[in-house]
Amino acid sequence: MLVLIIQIGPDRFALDARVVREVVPAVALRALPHAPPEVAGLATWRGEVTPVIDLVRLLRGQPCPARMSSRLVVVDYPTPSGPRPLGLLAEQVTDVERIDERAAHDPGVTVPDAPYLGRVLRSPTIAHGALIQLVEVTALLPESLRALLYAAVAEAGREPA
Amino acid sequence: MLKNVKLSVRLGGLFMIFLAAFGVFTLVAFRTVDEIKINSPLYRQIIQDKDVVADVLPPPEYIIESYLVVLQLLGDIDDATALRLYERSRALREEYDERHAVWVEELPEGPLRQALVVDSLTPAKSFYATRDQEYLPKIQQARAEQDPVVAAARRDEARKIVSDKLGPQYEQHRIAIDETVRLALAGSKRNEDRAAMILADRQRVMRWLAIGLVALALAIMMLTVGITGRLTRHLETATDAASRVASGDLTVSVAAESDDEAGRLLASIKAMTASLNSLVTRVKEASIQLMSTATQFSATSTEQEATINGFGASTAQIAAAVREISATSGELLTTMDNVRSVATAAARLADDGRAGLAGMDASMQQLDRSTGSISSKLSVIREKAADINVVVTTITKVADQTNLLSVNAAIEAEKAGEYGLGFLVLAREIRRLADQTAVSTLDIEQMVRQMQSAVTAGVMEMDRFAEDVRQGVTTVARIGAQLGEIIERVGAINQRFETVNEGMRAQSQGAKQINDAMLQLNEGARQSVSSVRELNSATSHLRTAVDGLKTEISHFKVSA
Repeated sequence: MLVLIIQIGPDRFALDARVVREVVPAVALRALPHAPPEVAGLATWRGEVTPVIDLVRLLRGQPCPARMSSRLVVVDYPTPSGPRPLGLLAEQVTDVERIDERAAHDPGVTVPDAPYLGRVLRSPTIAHGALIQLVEVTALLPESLRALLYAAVAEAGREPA
Repeated sequence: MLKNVKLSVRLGGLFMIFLAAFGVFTLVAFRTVDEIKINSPLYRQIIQDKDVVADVLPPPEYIIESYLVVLQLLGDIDDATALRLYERSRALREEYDERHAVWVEELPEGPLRQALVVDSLTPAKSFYATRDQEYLPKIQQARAEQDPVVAAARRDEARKIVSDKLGPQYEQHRIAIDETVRLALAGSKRNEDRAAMILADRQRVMRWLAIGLVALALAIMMLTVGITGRLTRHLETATDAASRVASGDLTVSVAAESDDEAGRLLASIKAMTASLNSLVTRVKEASIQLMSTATQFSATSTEQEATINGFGASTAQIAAAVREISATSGELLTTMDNVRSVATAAARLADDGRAGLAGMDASMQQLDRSTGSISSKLSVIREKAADINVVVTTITKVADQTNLLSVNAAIEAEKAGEYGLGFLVLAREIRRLADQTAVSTLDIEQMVRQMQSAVTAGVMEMDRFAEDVRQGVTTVARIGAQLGEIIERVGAINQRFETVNEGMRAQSQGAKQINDAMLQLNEGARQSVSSVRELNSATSHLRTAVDGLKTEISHFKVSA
């Protein structure tokens, strides 16, 4: 299983490469007023208006630092009207890693507010064995936020038409 | 009438009158002597001598000798005598001519001149012509003839010439001469008579003059007696007054009644008496004052002696003090010399220091320039570092893009399944390369940053150093100026030292002079003491003398 390694603060997380559509540089975003702080804004990806979630703020409560290695990861987000692109803003998106799915374990602790944090596994390439936690894209957005975002996207998509 | 005429004028007038009278007398006497002086004894002597010569010698104007020689030649004579007679004949003729010329010059017109110059000349001339032209040739022929007969004949012819011609001519001449003699004697008699008459006349005049002179002398004598009498009277009055004054009676009064010498003498005696009167009065007063003054003087001189003794002691003390001053100023002079040499050494050191500072100043300025150059070079380095940063950024961007590409490639390859495996490996390699590049660029960036900070620090350090150097240069310049001032001041101090030295020397010399002067003063004080003592004794003498004076003065009777 190939995963995209992202770093948020001191911790490393991973995204399943199968849901990743493309990694692009962090471009300038159109801000969404009165949106929750996790929503970084709107971006255009391959002609499609894409909502962007600040993963660093979501996970650590701090805005993502504007670094060169801070990139936008476009993933497929399943919606009732089919999969839609969702932008995730994260730090040090520079590496992919092939991991053994069998070495992944349940963390044993379930945080009710963060259902998206999945299994943890030991990195095969990093000697000291820092743990990597998988992030489940499907459980990433709460219901209210999902409705808000894609309604807004629908509105935004309609506007230029 | 002659009362107010001065005695000298009166006597002078008398003398002048007498002199005039005597002058008239002398004039008359001299004129008489001048007119009759031919009869003086000396004149008579001279005339007598001339008479003797005239009586003895044949007179040249009378040709009697020539006639005698002619007769002598007729006689029987030898040749030598004949020659002598020829010679004599010639000489006689020359003598006659000479004397006759004299008489022609001398004689005044008159019968005497006619007789001598004209009447006697004609026969004389004929006589000499006959003798020289006829007679003498005959005689010579007769003497030259050998034949006695012929010689006798010639002699006869000659004798005939004498009797016929020469004889009558001589007679004629002699008559003229006799007439001349008669005339001359008559003139002489006339002159003698006139002389006697003049003499008698003048003797009468002189007799009257002598009578006049005697009368004049008598008059003068009488006048003199009169004058002397007046003079004697006045002198007696004066002598009387003077003797009274001499005996101390100053109350005498003299009446001066005339304005001549005697009158003035009396007036003078009167004035003198008055002066003496006041003088003696003043002397009496003065002698009293002098007595009291002498007493005071004695007291004062005693005090002065004591004072001078004190003064001598003081001068001795002053001399000692001046000697100390002299010694002290000598030491001070030595000290000043030392100080001056030290100051001169300091000035020399300061001079050296200034020269060193000048060199240092140049070095500082070089250093300043060098730091400026280094600063500019560091700036260049900083600029280059910025350039490197730009390049590194570009490389980083490229590495970033490469990484992104490789990540996307890996994801795409995964999605391709089995077919993407090779590509996946390739993507991983690319990613590693990008990572290495990124790491290298990070290193470069790090190094450049370090270099930049180092350069910045270096630039700052250099700036600070340059500032320090600048301050150092300023300080050096200031120190140099201060050293210059020090040198100048030391020079000025040197000059002042010179002045002080001069002053010290002068002071030392002056102290020595004061010392000498004090010694002299001391000596003077000693002498003064002895002088004061002498003065004391002199004062006592003076008192004695004033006592004597008072006694003497008391002899004078003084009119109030």
